Amino acid sequence: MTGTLGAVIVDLNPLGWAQLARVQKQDDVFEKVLQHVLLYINAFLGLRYDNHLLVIAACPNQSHLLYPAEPQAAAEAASKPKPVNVYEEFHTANEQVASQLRAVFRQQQAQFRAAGGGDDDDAAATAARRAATSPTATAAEDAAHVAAHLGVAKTSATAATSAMASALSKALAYTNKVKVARPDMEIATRSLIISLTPDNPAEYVPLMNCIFAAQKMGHMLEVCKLHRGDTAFLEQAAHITGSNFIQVDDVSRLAQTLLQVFLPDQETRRWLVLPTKEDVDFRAACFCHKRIVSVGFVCSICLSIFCAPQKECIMCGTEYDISSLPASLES
Amino acid sequence: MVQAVRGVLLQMDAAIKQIILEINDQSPQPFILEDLDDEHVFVQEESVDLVRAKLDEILEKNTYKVDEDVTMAKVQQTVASPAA
Amino acid sequence: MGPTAAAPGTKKAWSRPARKAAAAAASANTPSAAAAAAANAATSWNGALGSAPDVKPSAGATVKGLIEDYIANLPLAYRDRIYQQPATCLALFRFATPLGKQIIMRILYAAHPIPLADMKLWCTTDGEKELIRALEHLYRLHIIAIPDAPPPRPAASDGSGPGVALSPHFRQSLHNALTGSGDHASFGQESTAPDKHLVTQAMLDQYATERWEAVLHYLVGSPSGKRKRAVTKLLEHSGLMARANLTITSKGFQFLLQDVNVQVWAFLLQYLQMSDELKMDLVEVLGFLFQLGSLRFGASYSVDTLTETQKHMLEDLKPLGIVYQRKKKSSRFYPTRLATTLTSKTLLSSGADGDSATGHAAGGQSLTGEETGFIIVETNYRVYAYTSSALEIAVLSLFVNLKARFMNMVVGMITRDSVREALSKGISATQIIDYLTSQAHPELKKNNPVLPATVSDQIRLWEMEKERITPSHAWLYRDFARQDDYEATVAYAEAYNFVLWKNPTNRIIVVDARGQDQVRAYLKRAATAHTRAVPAGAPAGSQPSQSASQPPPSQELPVHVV
Repeated sequence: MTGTLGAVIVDLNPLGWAQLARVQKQDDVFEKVLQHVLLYINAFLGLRYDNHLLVIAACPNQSHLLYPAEPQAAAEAASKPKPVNVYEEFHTANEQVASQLRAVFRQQQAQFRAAGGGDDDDAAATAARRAATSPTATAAEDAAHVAAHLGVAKTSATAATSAMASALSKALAYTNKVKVARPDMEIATRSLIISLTPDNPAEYVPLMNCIFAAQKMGHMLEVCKLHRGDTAFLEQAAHITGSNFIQVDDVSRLAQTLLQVFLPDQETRRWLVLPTKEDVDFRAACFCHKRIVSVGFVCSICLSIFCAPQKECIMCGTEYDISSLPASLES
Repeated sequence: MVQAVRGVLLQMDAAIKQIILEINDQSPQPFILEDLDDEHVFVQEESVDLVRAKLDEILEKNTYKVDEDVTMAKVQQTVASPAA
Repeated sequence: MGPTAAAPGTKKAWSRPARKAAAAAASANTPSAAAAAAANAATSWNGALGSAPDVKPSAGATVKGLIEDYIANLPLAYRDRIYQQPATCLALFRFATPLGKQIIMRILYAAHPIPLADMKLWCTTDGEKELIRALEHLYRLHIIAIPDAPPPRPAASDGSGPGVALSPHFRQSLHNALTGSGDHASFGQESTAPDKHLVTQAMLDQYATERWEAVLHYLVGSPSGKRKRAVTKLLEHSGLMARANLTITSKGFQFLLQDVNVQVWAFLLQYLQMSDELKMDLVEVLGFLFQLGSLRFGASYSVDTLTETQKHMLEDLKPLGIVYQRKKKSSRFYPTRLATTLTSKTLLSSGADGDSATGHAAGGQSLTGEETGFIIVETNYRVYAYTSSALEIAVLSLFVNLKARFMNMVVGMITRDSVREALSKGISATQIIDYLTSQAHPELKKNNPVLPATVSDQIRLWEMEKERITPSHAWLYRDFARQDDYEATVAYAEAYNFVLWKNPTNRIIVVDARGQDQVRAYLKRAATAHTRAVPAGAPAGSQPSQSASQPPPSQELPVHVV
């Protein structure tokens, strides 16, 4: 058995959190979820003395590495003596993770409002209404509609999604660096993704690249989904890396789920029966429009996916003669 | 009637057994209670340590050791007088 | 094993077998007595370090094994109090098997006890065996309790069985540990004001190394300076030094070759056993040891949160190099690396640097925590040890013929004589090989296997040379009058695996000494049955009679087996 380097990727999209607050009917849902996550983190660190933690925040346009913190921030935190009843390792982790998460979250909220996104609640309400009436709309259309509704000049298709690929690549790069630095040690690695927003189709290619890299590295990608949007890519991530995918509808049960499903490491999972999503959504996003499609056209050379037949593959440049296709297929 | 004798059963290979017999013959107090077969001997309890020690002694005589110090001295000698 | 009634008398009971085992080990007893002593001592840590010289010592002692054996054998009342300390519970949680940890997490917040059948549903078919093993392990330490039921067995699988729950104290303490709540001061209070006399990590490392090596030096017999009375007492009591003349025993030699964490814990457990006599509260002592394991290296902690007993412990732990306290009345103390790695093998860094945070658990870790393998073994049996520490050189000289000493290096050869000398002192070939492997230089560690096969094989062969005869205590039976008697006896003895040797032609059978009483009783019964069956006129010689009325010849049927 070896120590694990576990990453926790927290989706800090303000829109997503506002939506969650509405659904759970709790204004301080962020704090509540934070407590559950901290308990999970303590349990994870408590399992073995050589388990180590990595926390990354996925925000709408970027991701931030939150823990381990920069050396001077760590030194600051260490200079405050800890309360006597708390285990040192837990205390350091909890303090830094909590303070960083809160700080970045507030920053994101401020940015969102400054960009003219309007009040979180309004935006969330609009998005919710929209999702209810036309469930097949994509996230991009949602965001565009919300922005239009609120009269915002600049619309960002990514307002309602988070930079998951960026966060995931940071996690994979960090864990790989640690593994390479100690070739004599076996370090197990995995990431827990706490998702609050649907997939961003524009991220399909980078996200799938991350997923396959993780599969090669033996890095498990587990997903805990707190919302009801489309997360085809994350489902595939969990399925491909042999990890668990759980949808949690009641936030008060979050700690229990985290402790029971996401705590066991790879070796112990052999012995446990853990719940996961059996019917994985294997849809992909087309490379031309970044739209999610379930039926499409595939280039036979580079296997890129398109929603409509192409004369020339955008990715590899292969030319195709599409005149032979029946007219009904051309859209 | 059945006799019950208390002692120690020694198990060994055939070569060692012959040496044990030899030790027994040369010892002022024979300790073998019963010679069982080619690989087993039944001896007195108190004699086990004695047997071991004597066996070690005899086997030592058959061991060839490379004497490091002698070899090193020879090497140093050769180095010191290369012309020889 | 298992909880005994918490009578104060039991405290003396389990310390006495330990001392008896130590006394047995120090003098060369016969194998059977030593085996008996070893059986008694099996539950105390002395068993882990091996007993009399001619019994194979167990080289596989681990910190985890030592601690768990000790706690499993404590009386119930002590255990309850110990489990009120979150630091202790966290350390024991980390020692649990992987599946055991998951089980603990799952039932930590369960409202009701979980039936065993439900637990089985959690597991795959492969996992069930592992589940039972984990549960038994937890039950042995009384971490889980099953109200009014015997320990879980694979057979009991009906759905309505009694439920498994965490013992209440353990549950509360683990919850406190995870959430940082409670009012137990179990994790040590850091000092708020900075120390006027600056103490750096390097100073602490040096202090610990000095002290610990001094203790080991004293053990090896090259004392450097006066030793505190308490330390010498500890060494004697643990059987590492013979009480009479203060020379090292064979157990002491084996001790020297073990991993430093195992050594420290062996001492601490001995100290625990002595704490009875010193009128110290066992629970507080043990709690403080686990607290030390949870502290951060390099930080100073206030003595305000410690009890009187624990403050007194600081005095005792200082000469071992486990804690540093500038003066007896100082208000703060520093744990050294020996303390912080009590329950873990790596540094507990504060996570500032990602690379160092992963730590390393390989052997060859010194008191300063770095990779310190320093021995190179060549295929021609030469040994080069890059060290100038007198202690390490002394340990090496136990089985290596040292030839030259330089400023930073020592050169020697592993010869037949040097190994035989070590073997005769009670060190086993496995211990020598393990020591060389764990202390191997990082360059050497890149090889697989670490040591050249020629060297490790030859060391084992030299050990086997000493074992050309295999002795077994036995009883020889001969002069059976009739073949069927002989065969019946053989059949009886074989059923119990007591037959060591037999020869049907001569009607001789050699029976293991362990089975002597039974076989003798059998023969007696057979004899009386026979005499009854053949009432009168039967010649005396044809009956396998062993009645006590016969005047025994000098070697026939002595009355007692030891």
